[in-house]
Amino acid sequence: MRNPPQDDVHTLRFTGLRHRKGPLTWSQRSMWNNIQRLKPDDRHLNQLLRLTLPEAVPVERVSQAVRELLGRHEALRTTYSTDARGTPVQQVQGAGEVTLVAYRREPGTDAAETWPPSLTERFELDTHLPLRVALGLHDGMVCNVVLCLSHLATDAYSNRILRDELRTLLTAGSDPRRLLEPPTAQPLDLASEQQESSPERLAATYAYWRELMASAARTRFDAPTGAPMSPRFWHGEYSSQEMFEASSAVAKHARISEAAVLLAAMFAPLGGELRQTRLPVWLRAGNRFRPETRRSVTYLCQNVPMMCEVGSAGFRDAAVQAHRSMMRASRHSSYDPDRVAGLAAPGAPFPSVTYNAIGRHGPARSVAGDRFRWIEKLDHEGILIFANVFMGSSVSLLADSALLPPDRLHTCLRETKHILVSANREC
Amino acid sequence: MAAISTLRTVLTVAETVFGTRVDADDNFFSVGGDSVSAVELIARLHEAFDREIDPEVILESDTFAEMAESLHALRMNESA
Repeated sequence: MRNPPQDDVHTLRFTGLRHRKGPLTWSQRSMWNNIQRLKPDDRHLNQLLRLTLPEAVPVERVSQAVRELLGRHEALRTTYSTDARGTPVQQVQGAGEVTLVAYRREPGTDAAETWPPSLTERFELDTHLPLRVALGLHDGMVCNVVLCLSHLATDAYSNRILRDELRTLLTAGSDPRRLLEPPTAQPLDLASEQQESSPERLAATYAYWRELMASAARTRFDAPTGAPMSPRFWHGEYSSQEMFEASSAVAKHARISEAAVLLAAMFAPLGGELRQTRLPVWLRAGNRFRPETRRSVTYLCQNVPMMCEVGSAGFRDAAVQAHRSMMRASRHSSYDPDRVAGLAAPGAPFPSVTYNAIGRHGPARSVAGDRFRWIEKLDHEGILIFANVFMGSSVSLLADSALLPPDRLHTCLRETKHILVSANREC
Repeated sequence: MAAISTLRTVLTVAETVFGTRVDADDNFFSVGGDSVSAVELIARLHEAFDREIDPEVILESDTFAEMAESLHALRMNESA
């Protein structure tokens, strides 16, 4: 796609803010390792945060709002590099600049694909801030704001904080800053705290990891079932309001988490396709339960292993079992990635499906009927299968076509919905 | 049985977070709890009781009454 007409480039300079340097948090190190493994094909880890304004505002107001965000959240003005020993470090910048690129747009056009591809180019994280800003201009006024953020800087929870704060700053009346809650711990505060973690808790976590890694090593499903397609990795998304009404009702009835219900429903057909009765799973845990991180903008997710039984007699049993496994895994989801790297037996990688569930935020997007679409097709990806849930909105699978061909991927997503609707009828 | 005041506080906080009536026999998930509401609930209980709240107490209690009992027991242990 060609870039749309570019109207203007505005440079926002900031200065006089706190600058400091230190180690990465464990979560940041996990994402850093991920980016190192994928680079230079890591641009799909970048995230777009889109905000459509109810009333257009001048560019200067957006500039002030972004400046406020930069002051509040150190993650937005941090660069990342390695020290002399090759260890990644983060450098919070006290001064710098961000460019706001404005594009002429018609009001109401805010689909992700209508923004320029240059907006989501990979970040040179050692020299550039992990943030880009694009503005949709109509008659010289801003009607949309889009932030592109590196995943090393923020996770989905942080993005919600940023979207809410940006909306407040751009729509509230006089002195909107007084409406913002103070931010909680900054990434470097968390990194420093992690250096002092209790050895007992870490020992329990690493014991859990050893147990799961040993168990997972006995499960192999990563042998290709056919020739890969080109591009190799296909990402399909299924949206259905009925599916989420069902998952929510089943979860409430069974008194378990909706994320577990959806995991069980997505993995049952996957297990069938992969001819497995148990699947090792990388559960993406948010690690947000502490009040100290409630208003923190940083990347806090980490993958934690769990085992998912998919050959269970009934769906309800499978969902309850998934819930218990997730609860257990989430007790061990904050860890030093360098410590756990050596826990897998040599030559026995963890063949797994990654599962990520992003909670509801605000009213669900209402989708009439069911809809399937291919979101993206990639040549390179570091994982075999990625199952993603936007609660209340959609489920998606990204898979290596050599393992799960696109037509079977589509079938798995359709089957997920049917499982949930049937389970709800039986409640 | 948890002290009535602890249970009352837990239910009041939960009702604020979920925006709906919450009974002692409900549990976190039966009223629609998810990761986002867990963060809110833990933060508000932390404020209400002025102590660290273990996420396991929130996520793994079978009922809000059981959650209140756990919190009450912790408070009693601390003041003993």
